[in-house]
Amino acid sequence: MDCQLDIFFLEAILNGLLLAGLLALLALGLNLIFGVIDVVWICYAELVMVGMYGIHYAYKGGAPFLLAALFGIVLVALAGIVLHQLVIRPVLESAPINQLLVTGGVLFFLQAAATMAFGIDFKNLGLRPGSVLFADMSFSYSRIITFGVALVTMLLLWLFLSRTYIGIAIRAISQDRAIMPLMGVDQRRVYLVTSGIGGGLAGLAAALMVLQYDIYPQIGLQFGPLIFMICVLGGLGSMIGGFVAAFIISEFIAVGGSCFATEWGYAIAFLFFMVVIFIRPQGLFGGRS
Amino acid sequence: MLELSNVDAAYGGFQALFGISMSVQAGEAVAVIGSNGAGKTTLLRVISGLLPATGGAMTMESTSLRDTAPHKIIETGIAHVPEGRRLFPRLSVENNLKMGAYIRPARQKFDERLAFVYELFPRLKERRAQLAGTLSGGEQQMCAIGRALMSGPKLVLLDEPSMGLAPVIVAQLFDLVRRIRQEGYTVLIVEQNVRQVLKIADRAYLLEVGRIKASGPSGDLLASDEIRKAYMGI
Repeated sequence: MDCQLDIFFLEAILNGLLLAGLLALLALGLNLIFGVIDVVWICYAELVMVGMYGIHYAYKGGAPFLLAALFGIVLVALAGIVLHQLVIRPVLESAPINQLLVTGGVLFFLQAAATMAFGIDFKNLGLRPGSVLFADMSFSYSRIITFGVALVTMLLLWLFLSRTYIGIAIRAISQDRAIMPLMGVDQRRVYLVTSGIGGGLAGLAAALMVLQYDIYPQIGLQFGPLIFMICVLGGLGSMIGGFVAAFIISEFIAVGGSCFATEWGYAIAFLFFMVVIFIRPQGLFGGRS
Repeated sequence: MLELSNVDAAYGGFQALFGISMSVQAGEAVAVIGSNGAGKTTLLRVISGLLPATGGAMTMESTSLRDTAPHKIIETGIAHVPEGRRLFPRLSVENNLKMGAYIRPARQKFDERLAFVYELFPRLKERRAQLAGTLSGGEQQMCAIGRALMSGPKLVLLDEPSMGLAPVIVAQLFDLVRRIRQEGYTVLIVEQNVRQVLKIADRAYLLEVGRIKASGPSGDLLASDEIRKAYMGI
């Protein structure tokens, strides 16, 4: 154990902050979907995985990285719309457990399909932007880029949700679904737009993650539970809650991992999560349980 | 303007409205009175498409409402202020009003109508950045009516606007409905507060267990012994 208030400790805290940007972005998409449509996409991380493969093959096929990234965002946005139309719409009025089961089914389907189509070996783009040294501390460029892009994206989404008619309708619909027709709002259209944005955010996360992580069919298992835990900790459907929870969890992982071992970081984070859920089942910022 | 003939409606297997025929002419204020559970709220929900009619015909200025999707009915010029106000509690007052102007033709006139609503309800202007859920009951009712006016309707459906308000506020509210009429809106209002609503309405329909039992000029209904006994406790 090596846990002193030294430069490594500070480095761990700052790396936790950088990790939080990515996790907050991932949680944002899931929270948006849940807040508006009232369905949890358990397969959210698998959509990210699909996006990562899409970007990988587009890049290997000769597209410049930014174009490949754009392709990934559009691909997963469309996947989100298709998921809503084919899988979510038929179960919109069903019990939550049935909704979890169908999206859980999609999770395993996508994993199996990816294994069949792309094999189990780890792939990467061969793009590793390197690290920057600052006051004897080392930070990877990819994490810094990810953090910046995630923050800008969240800011843009916030502007969209607070300034545009459709954005305000997206927030209103979770507060009173039944009267939306009286406002002239077509609920089906709002759901499709939201699914597209939720998918697009997963695609953007994929574009950032291919810079840091290898791609394999089960990568969703590494992130899925973490994203879900962050959303529940912050209060499912609360976008601000998800943002704050992402920072809390990332610090547990980064600092715990630096003091003990990486696995311990995750263990402490999940332990903290369980304690909070005992005390506050609706999550830190949640209105509903 | 609004024409209903032989309209039926049901919740699942339970029939709530039986052969309702009624009309509202442009510029009128028409009241629907009746006791709890008579089907007054159901009637407004059927007109604005929240509950599909199971029989009969409804037209708004020659557009068939039964052939219009629920979210398109507001575009025919009908705005519905629902029972219990139903504001979006975690949106600001101004964003609630903005939702009222969601339909395309209303968006272009947003600034103009917002100014009008703020002139009608100066309190809303003071509280425009406040969350709607934190307003008092009377202010919430103003906001709900303001939200309906933002779509630029011809006909305003008001469902029990006095519900849950203190007596002083109720009096102000009826003044306000009068004011809305003077601004040229046609009003169809549902109320349990029979005496007060008959004072502001030109005509009224009396609804009893899903059927129209009586109708006529408000003065006639006010003078009817039967109605005085049953609904005004005199």
